[in-house]
Amino acid sequence: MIVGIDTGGTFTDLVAFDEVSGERRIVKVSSTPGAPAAAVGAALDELGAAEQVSRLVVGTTIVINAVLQRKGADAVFLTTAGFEDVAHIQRINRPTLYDLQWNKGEPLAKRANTVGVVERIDARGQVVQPLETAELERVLDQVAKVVEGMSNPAIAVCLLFSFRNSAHEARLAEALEARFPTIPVSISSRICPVWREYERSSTTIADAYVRPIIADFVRDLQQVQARIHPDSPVSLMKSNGGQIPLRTATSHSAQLLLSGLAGGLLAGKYYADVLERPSLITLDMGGTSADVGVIRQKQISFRDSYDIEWAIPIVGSFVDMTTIGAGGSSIASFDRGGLLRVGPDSAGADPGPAAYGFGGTEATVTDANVVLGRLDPDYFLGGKMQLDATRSAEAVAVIAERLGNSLEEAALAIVRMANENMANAIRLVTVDRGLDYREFDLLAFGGAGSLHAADVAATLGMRRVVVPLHPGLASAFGLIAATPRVDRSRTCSFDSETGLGGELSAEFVRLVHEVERDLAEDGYDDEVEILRSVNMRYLGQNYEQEIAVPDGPIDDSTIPELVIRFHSSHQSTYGYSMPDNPCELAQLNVVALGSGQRPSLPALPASDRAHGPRAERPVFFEGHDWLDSEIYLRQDLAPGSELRGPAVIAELDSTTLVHPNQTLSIDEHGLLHLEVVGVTRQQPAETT
Amino acid sequence: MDLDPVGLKILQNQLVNICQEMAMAMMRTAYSPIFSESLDFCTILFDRQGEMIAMADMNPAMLGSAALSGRWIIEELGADSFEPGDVVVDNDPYRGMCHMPEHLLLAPFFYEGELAGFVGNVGHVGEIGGKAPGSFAADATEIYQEGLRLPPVKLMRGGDYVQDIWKIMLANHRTPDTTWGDFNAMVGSLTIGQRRLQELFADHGPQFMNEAVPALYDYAESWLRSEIQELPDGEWDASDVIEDDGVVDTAYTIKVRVVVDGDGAIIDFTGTDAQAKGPINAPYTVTFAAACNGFFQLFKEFPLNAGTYRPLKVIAPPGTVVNVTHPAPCVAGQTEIQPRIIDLVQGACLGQVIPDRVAAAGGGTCSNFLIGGTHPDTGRYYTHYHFDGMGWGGRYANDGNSACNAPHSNCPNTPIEVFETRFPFRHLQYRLRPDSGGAGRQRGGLGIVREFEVLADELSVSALYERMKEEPWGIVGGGPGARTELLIRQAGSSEFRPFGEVFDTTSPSKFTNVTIRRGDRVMIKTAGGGGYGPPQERLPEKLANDIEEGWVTPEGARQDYGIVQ
Repeated sequence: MIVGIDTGGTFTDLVAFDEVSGERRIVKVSSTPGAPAAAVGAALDELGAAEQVSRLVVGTTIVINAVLQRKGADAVFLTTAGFEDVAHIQRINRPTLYDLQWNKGEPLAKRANTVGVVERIDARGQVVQPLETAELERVLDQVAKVVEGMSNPAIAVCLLFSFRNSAHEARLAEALEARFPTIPVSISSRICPVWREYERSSTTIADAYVRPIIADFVRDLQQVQARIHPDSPVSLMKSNGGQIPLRTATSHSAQLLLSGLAGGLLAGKYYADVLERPSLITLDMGGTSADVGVIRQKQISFRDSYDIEWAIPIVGSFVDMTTIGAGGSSIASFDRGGLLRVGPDSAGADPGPAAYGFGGTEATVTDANVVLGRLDPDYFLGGKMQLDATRSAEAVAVIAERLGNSLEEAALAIVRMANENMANAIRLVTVDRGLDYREFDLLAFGGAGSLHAADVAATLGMRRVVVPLHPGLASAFGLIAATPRVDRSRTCSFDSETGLGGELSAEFVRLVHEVERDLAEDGYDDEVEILRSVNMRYLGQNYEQEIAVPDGPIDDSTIPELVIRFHSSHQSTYGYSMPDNPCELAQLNVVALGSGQRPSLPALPASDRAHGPRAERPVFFEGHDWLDSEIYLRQDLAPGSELRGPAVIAELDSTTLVHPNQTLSIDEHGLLHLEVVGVTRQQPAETT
Repeated sequence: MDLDPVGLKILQNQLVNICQEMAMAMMRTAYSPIFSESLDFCTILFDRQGEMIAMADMNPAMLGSAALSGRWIIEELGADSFEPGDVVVDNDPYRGMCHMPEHLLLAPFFYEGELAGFVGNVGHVGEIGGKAPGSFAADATEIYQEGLRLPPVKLMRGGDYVQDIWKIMLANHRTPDTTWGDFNAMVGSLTIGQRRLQELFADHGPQFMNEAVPALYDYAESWLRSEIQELPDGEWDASDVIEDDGVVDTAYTIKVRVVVDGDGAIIDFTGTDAQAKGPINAPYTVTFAAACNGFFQLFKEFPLNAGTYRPLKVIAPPGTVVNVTHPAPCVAGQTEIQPRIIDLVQGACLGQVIPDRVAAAGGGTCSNFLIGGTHPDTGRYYTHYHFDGMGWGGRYANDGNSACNAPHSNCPNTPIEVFETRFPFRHLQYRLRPDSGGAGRQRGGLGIVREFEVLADELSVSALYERMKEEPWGIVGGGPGARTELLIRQAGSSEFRPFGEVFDTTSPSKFTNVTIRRGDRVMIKTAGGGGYGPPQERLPEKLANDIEEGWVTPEGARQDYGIVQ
């Protein structure tokens, strides 16, 4: 049995898949933020039969939370003398344009715990100022003074131009490890050998900073591991959607920062593969936020940096997610100019929406859905939680009064505003990559995704919505659908006019060797697929486009071929190209992919599932007012069948809304497919 | 969609969304680091009259262009002179723009054959010719020396390049490859804006758009009026100086009176000195943007369109340094007068009545340093517009931020590793400048120290700084921030001396085309922010932390805070 466990802030979700029987099981338990591994154990307990677990993958938000809450190590930072303040200077810009009260963020290492090292490597990688032995000794002595009295030290080393020549960093690392054998050392040329000293420093410091958190989590998980089959591997999800075994996780800390976010996109990729839908946009809408991701030609998009906070950028390979403040708990209010807004303020889980009855009084998206009859107060979380429709109505009434509208119209406005915010996020995410969102299908999940998906899709002119199995646990499902993956990038400088195929080839051979070694260290010994790409730009541009390197050996014909591909990619993405201008190869990327066993989606037998609607209840739709709508339980829906809206499909962890005249079909695996054409939006013609 | 608080808000978000898409396309394809790393541009939608509907606000300095330039260009050319596929370019400060490096590109948007609005963007083009590489001629005495001036002319006609204009441009800019790349990026960004507007009009219909856009102006106006209404009524005066103009060693006083009356305000510069001989002059667009910005700094968040400005009236007499008349040079108004006005309005004037919502003076200069030469490795000619962060003033609740852009700008720095890969320099240090923050209950932010050595046989540098004579002021009893310093240690010498002394320039902070050579070392020390509140009221633990972190030296603590460690 393959098990994926996603430890979130509120709930820890488990999805188990039996490779033999094809059976799937889900478990939802409360998270234990103080000791996150405890919830992992609790979820396994509730699943039972822990000894049958053949593989366990854990995704977690504890790493990023440790940074946000400043609960990491006492970071000691070593850098080239004269540049000790780079992490404080940052990039001199700010996130808000009109706010002199804004406060610049503090880096994770104090200036007083920063040690300058007299050494210098230049832009070509040549040693200008050698790292002398006497200086090395002085640095070690100073580090000894700095770490004295620290309860939890960790050392980060980032020297200028170490991505060109790592010799000084390597020498420092060796000496530090010998002198301070119990203190972990993070080295920038190993973690992210790419240019821009501030971002590289920030990443290296963050790596050191979160190491003890990961070490504790790993130790606790090893206790859990003892309860399952001893040969069964346990791994952690990485930010790039790959996995890393427990025993090596601590030494790749920076790669675990977005561990808890990758699952949703991995689920997206899984469904793109099995459904033969190569272009999907994933919409994961939960309580406080919505995450949007893009699957293109069945592949996840990646980004090479992520800002944990304004002052803490992290360089590495991250699944590309855009998060906006639109969730069930997003609050509706009026801005200073008198227009309605929804989010980014959120009622969170406590007090949560007014409907929760925990003291929230402001109208939220969930309250609007209750008012519209779209959420059943008696069947929230499968009936585990009773919602209070009266409180929702009271909260929404405040909005209605100010709008001068009926209660239902006000609720509709709140829902619509949330949908527009999500639609805008999808527009930006796709346009940034030169993609046309209308050519994509929308894969909707999270607790609230499938409730809003049809409207979001209609707003954007997207034609189809797919609702996967267990939409509220899609991230945990994504974990078991993941395969091993290692990313490696290196800044380089090849010119389209003078670059030599031989040199490019040698660089790639080195990188491929590194990723294969990493994958082997992760305990992976099966066949490896290698993807090579180059980030290219016109000589003079500062942003690159990623261009795939043709298969086969690299020779003198490779660079001209890459140049042709680059011009054409620039043309299609930005609408113009400059074929006469020289190009630059600025970064080389290699990805090693292992083939892992992925869960299959068995066809469901039709016979034992057919069941009609369980009830009928009025639901409010734009342009129709209240309509009697059929209420189904998802497990009752027969594969191969169809139903027409208005209807509501309820399940334990989510609710799917089918608008009037809309057709929902249930495929052989039990996935829901909504055809969006011609629904939901009131046409101007109807109003006049 | 309806003209109600829901439909309007949705439209507002959609319009800003379009501007953001345009901005992203521009950032990713531009050539100059000033666009792609430093984001010195903005993208705008205009209505048929050239009123701003929405903008993606990358750089507040360009507010003035966005608010006024579109309108003036359309007035000059006539709306009926635009055909589909046309793009007009303009960088003329005497025809609506702010300073010559900033170019506005404006393209009409037609819906069903009717002119329905315009899309535009403003970008700082790194090199536009003139007497100094990088086109910041600190000793210019006429606009003709500041680079190639383009009045509103068509750069594209019916979708085709107007070759004559491009040829003139490329022949007059020192780095034509970069010009070619940057302008193509700007034109590409307009295309994206037109495409998305097309969809938006099709979705909502032209009638809705015609009614909704004025309603959005009203929305922004009422937002701003409600903010201003909350300010106490009154009149406050203040003045500050620009130290010299690069040509004549004389200071220029900027006088301002801020009047808040109900839900509107007047910012009046009457009494300001006559315009300068050198380039330290601001066209009205710059003064207007800066004066509004001084208020905006109190409000943080608000919708930005033509309505935003309605409650604010800016009076700037012609012929003064805050409303220059032709043909005076004016490249430095945008970079140096802007921050001075912002601090005058928010700190010096409004600080008299709402001291808890303002900041002391910041470093107050864009620290413009221009480099031009032939790269010894590639043989290519290059120019670079370099700038640095400086300290912000202390605030009621917090210290000033260290190493930040002036508040009218938001341009990221060029990383050392990018700088040295592209240009023939090696840095020896890049750090915060201890003791540069003005002493106070809340300390001013620190400036930076940057030292680099020249690795090419020779190259030409120009500088345009401020606050080298006058310190950034503190408020509520806070001390001043440290002054700017610009030093050079010539090869063979062992001491750093001021540039102005070594090269005998008229101004210590503003000079053009000074030749520096291999082995010379340049040291730039940027200004610190002013302090807030009396230094003796600084909490001992905050001062102890300053000393531990090295932001204040023990010597500085003794001098500024009377503390003996």
